[in-house]
Amino acid sequence: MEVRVALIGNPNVGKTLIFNNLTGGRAHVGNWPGKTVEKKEGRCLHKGVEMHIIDLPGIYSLTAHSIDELIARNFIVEEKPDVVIDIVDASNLERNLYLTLQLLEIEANVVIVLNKWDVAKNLGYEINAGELSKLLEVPVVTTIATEKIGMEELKDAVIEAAKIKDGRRNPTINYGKPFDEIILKIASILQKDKDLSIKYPARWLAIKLLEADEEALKLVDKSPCKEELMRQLIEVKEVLGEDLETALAEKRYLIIAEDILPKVLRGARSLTLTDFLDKAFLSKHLGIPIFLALWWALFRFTFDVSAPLSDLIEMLFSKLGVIASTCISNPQLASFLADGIFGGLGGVLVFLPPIFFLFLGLALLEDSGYLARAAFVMDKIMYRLGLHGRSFIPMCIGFGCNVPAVMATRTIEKEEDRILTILVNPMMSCSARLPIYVLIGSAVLGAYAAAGTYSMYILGIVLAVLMALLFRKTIPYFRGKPSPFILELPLYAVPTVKAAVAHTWERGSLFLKKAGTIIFLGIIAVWFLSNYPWEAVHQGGETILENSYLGMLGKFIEPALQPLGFNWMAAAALFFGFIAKEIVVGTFATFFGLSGEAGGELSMTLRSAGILTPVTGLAFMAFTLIYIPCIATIGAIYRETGSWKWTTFAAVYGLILAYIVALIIVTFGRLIGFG
Amino acid sequence: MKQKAEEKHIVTYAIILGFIYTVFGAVEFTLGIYNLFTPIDNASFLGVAPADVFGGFAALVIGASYLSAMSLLKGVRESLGFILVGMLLSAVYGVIYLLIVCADGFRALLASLEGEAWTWEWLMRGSAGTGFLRPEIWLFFISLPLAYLTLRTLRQSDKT
Amino acid sequence: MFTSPLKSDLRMTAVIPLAMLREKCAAVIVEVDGGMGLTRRLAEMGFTNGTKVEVLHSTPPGPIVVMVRGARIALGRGLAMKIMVEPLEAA
Repeated sequence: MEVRVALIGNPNVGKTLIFNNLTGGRAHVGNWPGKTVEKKEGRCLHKGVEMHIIDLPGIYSLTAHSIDELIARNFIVEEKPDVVIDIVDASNLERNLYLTLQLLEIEANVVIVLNKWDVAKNLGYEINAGELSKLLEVPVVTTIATEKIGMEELKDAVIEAAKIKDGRRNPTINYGKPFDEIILKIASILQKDKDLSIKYPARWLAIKLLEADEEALKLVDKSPCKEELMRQLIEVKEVLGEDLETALAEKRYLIIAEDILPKVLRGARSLTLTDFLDKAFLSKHLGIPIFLALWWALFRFTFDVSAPLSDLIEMLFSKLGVIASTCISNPQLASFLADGIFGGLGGVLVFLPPIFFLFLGLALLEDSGYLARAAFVMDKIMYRLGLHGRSFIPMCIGFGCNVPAVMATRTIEKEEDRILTILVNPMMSCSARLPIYVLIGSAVLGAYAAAGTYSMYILGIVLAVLMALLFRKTIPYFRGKPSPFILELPLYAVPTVKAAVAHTWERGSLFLKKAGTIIFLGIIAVWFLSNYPWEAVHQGGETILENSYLGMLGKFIEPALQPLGFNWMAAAALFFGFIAKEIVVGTFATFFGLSGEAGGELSMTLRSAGILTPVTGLAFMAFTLIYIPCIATIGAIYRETGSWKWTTFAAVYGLILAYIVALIIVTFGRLIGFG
Repeated sequence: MKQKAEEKHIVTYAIILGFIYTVFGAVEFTLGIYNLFTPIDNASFLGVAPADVFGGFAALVIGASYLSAMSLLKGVRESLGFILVGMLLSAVYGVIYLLIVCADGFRALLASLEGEAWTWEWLMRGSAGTGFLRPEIWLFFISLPLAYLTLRTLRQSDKT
Repeated sequence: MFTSPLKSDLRMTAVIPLAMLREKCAAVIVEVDGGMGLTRRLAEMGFTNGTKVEVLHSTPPGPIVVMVRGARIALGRGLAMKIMVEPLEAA
């Protein structure tokens, strides 16, 4: 027997963990057709029954007002899964039941999971699960997902529910006078349309029409009953007023508070650890400094603790490269293997440790519940900068890699706010740019290398802010204030290793898949372009790079960059930085026939070759910070915005801004005598 | 009353810790800023507190959090939260600096495998500034008893 | 607009915006003064007329954290200015 199961629930209820518990962590991630939202599916075998589990987005309600809600709603109504698992946070019963009522109304075959049972207990709540089950006429399973308690009972309940799916109906939710009569009237009109009433539950559709639900209205547009329906609706509006949606929402909460909770919930909230911690984390004076301190700790963790792993990878691949070049006689093949393949793989994987460490750190901050407070604390500032409080987390992620950062903007509801965040995100100096700063810094800035690197990060943030403000003021599309900030603050909890690793892998694998392949191919491209035409380049044991395609490319671009003091090598390196910023250092290394390490030899060579001066070096760093986002990011931007217009804009404004800033640095530097 | 006395002890402990963190934080921060403009090689105060702008800032924040516990004396119960957060930050930094020192050691090991000479330099120098001597590491250990005491107080009050 | 009978004429005690409620104070929501989209959004999160809210954190001019229906919700201050509440006596 095969059973199709959908997972649904509010955000923060432990849905991801339960999904992982059920599917053993093996998920197939795709996209909902026609949308940019991710679709996660998995399988679970239990007592001979194969369960196909689909994870629906975390939502508070089933309206037509956001993509997430529509996706969930359409899936339930059109795909008609055998069972819908409604995951309810037991420590937050009242609010979570709102969605449950809507699920019952949409005639989903619901199994309620009361998760975080332990948290509810610790808060002092006593919940009568049996009574809840009786009232709502659906099975209720209590679980503690973090300890895998209740999973077997859940699977059993799902199978049982699937068996009795056909022929059962959910209890009717009564809204009282005058709503119920009107709902019945409209439902009966709807039932005259055979096509519609087979597909959609009449009562549910009637309620949606009363709420002026856009999608529902569209459905009814082609129906023969349309006129009669419209007449009824207009009449109703005249009597009851325009905003039935809010009125019905209020009614639902009333039902929960008066008819359900008193029979099901006992006990009261006591002062919790969360309240204590929030006193400091949300403190007027210490809130932001604490955030900055944690942020710095995250950075240190990301770069300094992961360093030995990067070293290890570097060593491994250069050893492999040496073996390849000594063991293979054909020089072209040897070079391809050593510099191309191994160089390429090494070049990608060396970035893996910092990125994974960053995402691990972020996952810990997020799972502990702190990140929501950080967003809250930064919202004041974000708002004044024309950004939404929710833009905050994507910007944090951007310091690791812009690709998952752009994707993380999905949680921002208002499209204008979302696109603005996406446009400004590439200013966050991703980890790929750091080796460039280190290389140039140690080459030409000497003792001030550290200051140079810090200044790049700060420059990035400053520019991001300026651009956000600029775009808000000048581009009509962005006029207006960011949408209002509403965020639920979860209880603080100790992050579990499992969940943290799962989240880390989720984001890190994105980098690996998207950026990884592109970087690898990019390095191979550099190898090719720098080694061919083979004979011209490799003359008598020497490598004359100016004869290669790479050199020709560099010389071609050179004139445009001359005012900035960049020569053809820098030009070629920048060109490849477009493909992936990680390649810039490698390109320089190729020019000097060295391994792609950012430190030591390469920077000394760079310095002695006199290619860059302190001033032009700084300008180069700034240029790489600002100019065009790498291809992987551009790809992500296109996927998230769905528009060539914005993607091109993102690419172009970066170039222009980079040129201007670099020019300013060079001119200013020359003026004060650094030359 | 016993609880009041215990609370007083906790606050005193926190204030002392807070003061120490603040002092070191100020030193690290100032040295760091100075270092940016007139770089000194391996700058550090007493060989213990390195020049570190952001690290110094962080230590100042930790100090401020502990010091804010003073309002506990005025009866604001939730100020225990400042101590808790101070402890969390102490732990975060203590552990991270420790990890960094270990990472440095690991890198030294890798370098020696590559043929470079082995040094013990990473113990006292390196990415964390002064290696094992970094104050935040020791202050973390010193803050552990405070953590125990505070959590015990919290747990007791829950039983009422 | 369909609202509860607590509106206008029957108001005897002071009704203030949620944004002005002090920390640790509780109140009952009387009216939500926004456009339809806003009102609905807030209603979904549990901010409906007659609901009790308690301010957990309020540090002007920043956002405000309230306890509503057992959940902690952070609201921007602009939003909190649009939710009208009637303060309850301190217990």
